[in-house]
Amino acid sequence: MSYAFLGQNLHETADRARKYFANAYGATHFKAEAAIDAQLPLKPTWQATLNGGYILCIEVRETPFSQSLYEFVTLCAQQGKPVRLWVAVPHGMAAPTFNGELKQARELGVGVAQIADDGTAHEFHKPVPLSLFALRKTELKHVPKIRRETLKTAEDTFLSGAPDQGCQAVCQDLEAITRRFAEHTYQAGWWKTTAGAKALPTRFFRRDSWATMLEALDERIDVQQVKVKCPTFGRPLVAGARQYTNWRNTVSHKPKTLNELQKRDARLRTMFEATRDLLIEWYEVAKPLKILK
Amino acid sequence: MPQDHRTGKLAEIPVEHIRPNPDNPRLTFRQGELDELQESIRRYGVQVPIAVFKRGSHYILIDGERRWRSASKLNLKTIPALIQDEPGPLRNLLLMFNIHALREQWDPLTIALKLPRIVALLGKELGKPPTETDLSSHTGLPRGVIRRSRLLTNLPKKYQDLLLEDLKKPKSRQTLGEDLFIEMEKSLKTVMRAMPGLIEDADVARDAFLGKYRKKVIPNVVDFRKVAKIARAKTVGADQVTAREAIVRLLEDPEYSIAQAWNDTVSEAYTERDIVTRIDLLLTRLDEVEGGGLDDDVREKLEELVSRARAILESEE
Repeated sequence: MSYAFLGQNLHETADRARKYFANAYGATHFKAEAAIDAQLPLKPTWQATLNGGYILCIEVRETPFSQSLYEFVTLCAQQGKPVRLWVAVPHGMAAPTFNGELKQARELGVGVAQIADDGTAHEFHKPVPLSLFALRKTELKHVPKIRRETLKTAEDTFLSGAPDQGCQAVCQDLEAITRRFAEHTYQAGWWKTTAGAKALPTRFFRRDSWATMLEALDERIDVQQVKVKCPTFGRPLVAGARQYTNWRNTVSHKPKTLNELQKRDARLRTMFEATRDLLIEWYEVAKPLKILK
Repeated sequence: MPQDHRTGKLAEIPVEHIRPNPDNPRLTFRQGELDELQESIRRYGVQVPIAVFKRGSHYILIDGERRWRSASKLNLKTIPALIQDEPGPLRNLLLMFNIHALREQWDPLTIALKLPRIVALLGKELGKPPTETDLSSHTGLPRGVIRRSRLLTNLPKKYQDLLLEDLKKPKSRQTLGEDLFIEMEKSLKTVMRAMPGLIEDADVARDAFLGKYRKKVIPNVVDFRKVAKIARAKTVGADQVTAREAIVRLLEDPEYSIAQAWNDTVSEAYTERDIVTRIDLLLTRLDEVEGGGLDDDVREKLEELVSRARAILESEE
């Protein structure tokens, strides 16, 4: 393959990188040294399409990072571009800045692979889709230790390119915590009752529609009584949870075009952040009841 | 450059309308250099306009291929350019040579591969084959560079390709290099001139030397200079038959090094010649101080020299 802008000393690496990413990631429709967008300040060595619809960009370089890449990554993240950016470096390069640049690349969500002469690659780390990278990261110090792993895993899943599954994980946790809260407070007698009404069965809290259960909680919870034990509780928390009762519909919508993918990622990023923040508030509420598992 | 010169028009032109010059002698662009320039352009823009001429709807580069590559890589839409009239084939080439003669010099192979075309075009214009001086004055290259480059011009194509492939690799992985071929060719020329008939097929000799260089039996390119000195054994009064046999062994025995051949043949003779030359020089200098007062340091050294010389002479008797 002949390249217009790449130094000859990297042509073989670029050829091998293309083969590697086609074989290992099923990338197709490769284009060499073309602009992804007229406004982005870099034409990557390769761009291709990945199965999930993301654009694969491979920048072939002697070292893992540069200021040009920083600018490119920042703009892609700001504009929510559905790009997974890899830097492919040749085997045997030992620049003194290598480790520092490797760290910079990882922190900015850029994957780095070292391509060997036989076409195999050593992946130092994988990239984060830049459309998701602008995600406001979870401050784990605000999360009860018992729930940190769950939340961290959800965030990692989200950033690995499965934002739908990441959102699903936090929504499921939100549902579980609100159900346990409702059941616990009901059994504690902190729900208002009407004379002659039948007792709610366990099934109502554990298996029946989440939306119906939250509606009942919203209507019947005695906020003042709960506040004695859980001072941070308030009705807005229940209202917040009720916004996500149809989360399955929201996350299951598969984008068909790049534009849809970009919009979905932006939507799921907002959803993940908001649900996660709400969940952390619920953890705080539920903590005194010892219902965190 | 003995050509008329007209100033071009300065303009911002679309990067995507620019094409590289097919006659650009430069064959390799190393990524490290491109990265540095790219970073500078990203920060400060293109500060020095490129030079182009217009052909149809495109612009052809005369100067600034690295700036153009970097600008294009950075997805810049326009680049400042000096638009000149389309030059003739010879002027096109000479322009590029002269620009680089004033700035960063090309690799010798880059120059070597374009020299035959310049020789042909210039010969046509001058009405006679150009001399080294003609080439130097027209290209702006020093005569030494032309002479070294010509050694690569005359190299068979398979070795030029080998060298080109090597130059394309990252610097840390290059195993050959232009200096190797230049030094090797110089020594082979001397051997063929001083010992006619010894080398029947120069490629066999080249392959033998390259094999030894790769196996580090020849550890550095400067060793080839010793091969030339062995071939000129006669000039220092060394035995020419022994020297001839050593060179034959150098070409046939893969483990026999140049250093060994040197010690087996002319090492002593060259050392003796070196001593004689230095003594002659010293005597000339001593003539200058004769009669004058000698410094204590000089007197001490002279006495040491006399005593060492006497000891050597007495041991010879």
